[in-house]
Amino acid sequence: MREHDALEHNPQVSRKALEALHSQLFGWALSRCGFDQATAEDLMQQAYVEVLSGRARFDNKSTLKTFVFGVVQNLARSRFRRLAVHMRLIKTYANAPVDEVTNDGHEDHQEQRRIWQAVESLPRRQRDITELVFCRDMTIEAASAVMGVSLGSGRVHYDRAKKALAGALAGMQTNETLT
Amino acid sequence: MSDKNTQEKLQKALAAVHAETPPAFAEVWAAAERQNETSRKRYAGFVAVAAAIVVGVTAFGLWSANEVEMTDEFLIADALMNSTQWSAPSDLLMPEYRFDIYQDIPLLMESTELQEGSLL
Repeated sequence: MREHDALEHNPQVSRKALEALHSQLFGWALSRCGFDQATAEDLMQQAYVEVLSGRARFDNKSTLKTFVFGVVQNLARSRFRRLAVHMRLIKTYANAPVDEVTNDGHEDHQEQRRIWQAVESLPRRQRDITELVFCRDMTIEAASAVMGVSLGSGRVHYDRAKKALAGALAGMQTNETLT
Repeated sequence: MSDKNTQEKLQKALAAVHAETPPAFAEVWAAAERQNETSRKRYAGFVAVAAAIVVGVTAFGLWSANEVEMTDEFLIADALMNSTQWSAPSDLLMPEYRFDIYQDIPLLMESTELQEGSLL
């Protein structure tokens, strides 16, 4: 059914529905460009342009969330890839001395950082499916669609990621117990 | 470790490491609409220029084709005008081409003498 604020070139999409997904989508866009705020905002804008112009067309074959996450993923892959790698490198080197400074008091923050580093150290697809399933509340099927891989392939990535993460997190707990 | 537990841990870690403060939807949406409108106008301009070029080329093509036809018509008319000056094919048989053999009026013999009531 066409909603009253449905988009001209994307009649199955309404502005209201996109607004409801805005925060989640921004989180995903951030992750796609090395957590750089400005680049993520630009990526979001581009994604909305794609939807507005009808170049990315939603046909109700998946949920709207899967669709827009896919749009962001494809845009990031095609246009922001080089920039994302660049941003990630900057973050890597910029964050190195910060770790040492924060070692003093923020134990909890350090633990969170280590947990997230365990996620970031996973191979790209395993990292993506971990983030989509665990942090963005998606099913493996939807996450696979966003990533552009088959469901079977998605399941394999998910399974491997879970095992690797379990190992990494268990290792962290052992280290904490020892110290 | 259960999936629920992992999920909680990862969500907490992500929130702690990377604060996600999304910009206002209305702002991003308005910017996207402006960009879409600009690119739409640019595209429309490009299409208009392309259409103008196509129309121009077609018009020129038609005009030049018409020009050729008019020249042909003119040539036909010119040929018709020329055809009003007609010369008989047998003129070629004359002693001198296009020379009138009867340049002078021939002299007729005249007589005032009568013979049996008639002039000789």
